[in-house]
Amino acid sequence: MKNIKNKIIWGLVSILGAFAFSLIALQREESINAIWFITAAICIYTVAYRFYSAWIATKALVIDESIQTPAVRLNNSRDFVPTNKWVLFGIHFAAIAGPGPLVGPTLAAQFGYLPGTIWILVGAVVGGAVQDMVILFFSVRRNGKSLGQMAKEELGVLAGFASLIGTFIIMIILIAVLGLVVVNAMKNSPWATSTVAATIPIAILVGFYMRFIRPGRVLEATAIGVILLLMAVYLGSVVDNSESMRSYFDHSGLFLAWALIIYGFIAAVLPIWMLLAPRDYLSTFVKLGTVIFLAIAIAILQPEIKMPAVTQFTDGSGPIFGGSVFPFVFITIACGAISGFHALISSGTTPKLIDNEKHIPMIGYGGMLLESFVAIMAMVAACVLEPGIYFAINSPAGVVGTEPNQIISKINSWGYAVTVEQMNQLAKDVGESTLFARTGGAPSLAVGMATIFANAFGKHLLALWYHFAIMFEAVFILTTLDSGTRVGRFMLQDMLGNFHPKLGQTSWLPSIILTSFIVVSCWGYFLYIGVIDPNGGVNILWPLFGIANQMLAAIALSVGTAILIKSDKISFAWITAIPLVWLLIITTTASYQKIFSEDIRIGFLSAASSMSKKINEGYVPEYGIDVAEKLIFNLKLDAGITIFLVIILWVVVIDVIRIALKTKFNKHKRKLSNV
Amino acid sequence: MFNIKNIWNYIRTVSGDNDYEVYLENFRRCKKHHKDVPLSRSKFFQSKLEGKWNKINRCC
Repeated sequence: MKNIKNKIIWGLVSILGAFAFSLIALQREESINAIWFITAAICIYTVAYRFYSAWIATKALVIDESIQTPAVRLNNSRDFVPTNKWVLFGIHFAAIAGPGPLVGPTLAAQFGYLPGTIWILVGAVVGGAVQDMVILFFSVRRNGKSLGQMAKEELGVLAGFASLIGTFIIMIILIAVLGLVVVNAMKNSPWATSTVAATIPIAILVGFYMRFIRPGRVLEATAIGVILLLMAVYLGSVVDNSESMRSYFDHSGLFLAWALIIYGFIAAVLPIWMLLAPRDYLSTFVKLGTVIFLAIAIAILQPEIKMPAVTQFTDGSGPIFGGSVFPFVFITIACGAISGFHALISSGTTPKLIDNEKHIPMIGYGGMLLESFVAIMAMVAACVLEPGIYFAINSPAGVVGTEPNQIISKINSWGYAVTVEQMNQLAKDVGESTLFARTGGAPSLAVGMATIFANAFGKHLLALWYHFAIMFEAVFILTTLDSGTRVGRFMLQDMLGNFHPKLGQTSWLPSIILTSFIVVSCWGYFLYIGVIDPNGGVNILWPLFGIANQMLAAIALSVGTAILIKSDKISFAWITAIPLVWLLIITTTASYQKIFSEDIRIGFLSAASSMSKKINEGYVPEYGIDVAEKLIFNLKLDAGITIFLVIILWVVVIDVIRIALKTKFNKHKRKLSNV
Repeated sequence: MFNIKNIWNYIRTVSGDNDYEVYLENFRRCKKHHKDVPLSRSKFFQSKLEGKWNKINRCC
């Protein structure tokens, strides 16, 4: 009887999910309500979790509840600690959920809501969640070994090196592009800049509180910090209304980029307890609180989606970034569907805390589904805006011009209605002088979120909601920037330690200063170039980050496939091999187009040669030659990085094919590193 | 099953607010530590942060 009831319930959930999904996919003439996005996502996630993750766990991985996990066997009350599954779910989700699932879908909305939404749902269920769960399982079976160690042991030294170098490159590009997102949000905005600046002393104050006044009292210190952050958002309006104070916080993008670079260096050198740790506590609470709040607001308000299902920019002519829907929607969405970075968390802290193997599907697969749900909400927040407003905020000056009338007529020519008065009024309502050319996703996401919050909880507070959303995005982008710089520093110290042992000591001050300087210089360079790029920088940096991140995911899936093959489970290898092949197709195609496309908005090399030609033919004014030459060098550098990433990806994949063939012909003496 | 105390305990555990209490409890239970003295709250918090942030701990 119970069995029949279960079947009926799951049948109804499946039908509802299929209905909601088909409504999203097939609706063309009329607008669609956002509640269908939420319904489709929840139904698809629950069915996938109940059936697909359970099938993988029992049939392919053969999870065994009776095997003691490393957390139980090696319990040392520090690194290895058996942890309650719900607590670990919270810890794991807080670790994997960064700004990626918010920024990626916002940018991908230029193709319309449909391509991005399909990939967020399908990519997460078939790719991202599978990757996170499989890597978590294999790491648990190997005493919590990292992805790099597993790649080295299961595939070879080259694969280990590839994952190490891939991680470092992602870190650099990620920090640069997120820095650019924050800079574009703060550019000539005294309110946003003063609020973001205030988060630094607030974090330091919280750090001192937790270190000296009430050591380790995380919750009370965070509560004080969150109250101060909310006050900072309000006081930002006071700064904005004061002529004398405005001038202190009204800065160009270039000034803010330099300020961020200097901040990044200081944050990397300061003790952890002073800035990084307290900022992380604040950002985690603000992040989780805001995401829950957004979900409630969408459920209450049930806004209509204004963006068309598919725009004309699927052909590659999009203003925010160049490139057609295939393969760039998959590259752009990034963490909301599949993220190689997650494999580092699934083979880092989490496997050392798993109490029982039966918790692996919930933590690995379930954690990624929740991250994907965040991406769906970001897509909704971007698509509830009028498309004309969305494109007016996100289109860079290099594409639409700098004068409001020029920008508006360009956007109107694409068929999207928006007026100068409408944009001026919106800017005034959110407390900004202008919202034009704020490329990067953060401001448009903030406008979308603020609109939802204001309509659900109080329309007169639109400006406060907008700046709360900017603060919310900035506070955890800066956490990623701080922690990424520090991890980059550790990786570099580890490498340099091979040449000079003293440089490998993570507590030796000269080494800390030198390696922090190198890491900050690397991402600072890309940030600087992004800011001076008239096309907004995001056009180059986000696809580069997406390619690097998907490449790392492909390496993680290669490790998973190789272990399945070597464990005599070749018939199950498709669960990781299918997403691997898909990632291989999209990263290789995207890389090829980014390097060799003749469209100067896509191809690095054609853009570089077009710019050189313009300089030689005298089209570039003398004052612009210096910038143009820097951009040319950067375009060639980006092409070189992309080629390098593709080569190491294929080397790893060829290794997997070699292992598969040897296993098939039984020539390979299988050696697994599990314990 | 669903009460405020459980939710509060959950938030304390996820945030790490009660890490020191858990550490002390584990310390008392673990026989091999019997001759040692547990770390002070301040020292424990410091070493926990060092351990937490010397590896990739936050994602994109």
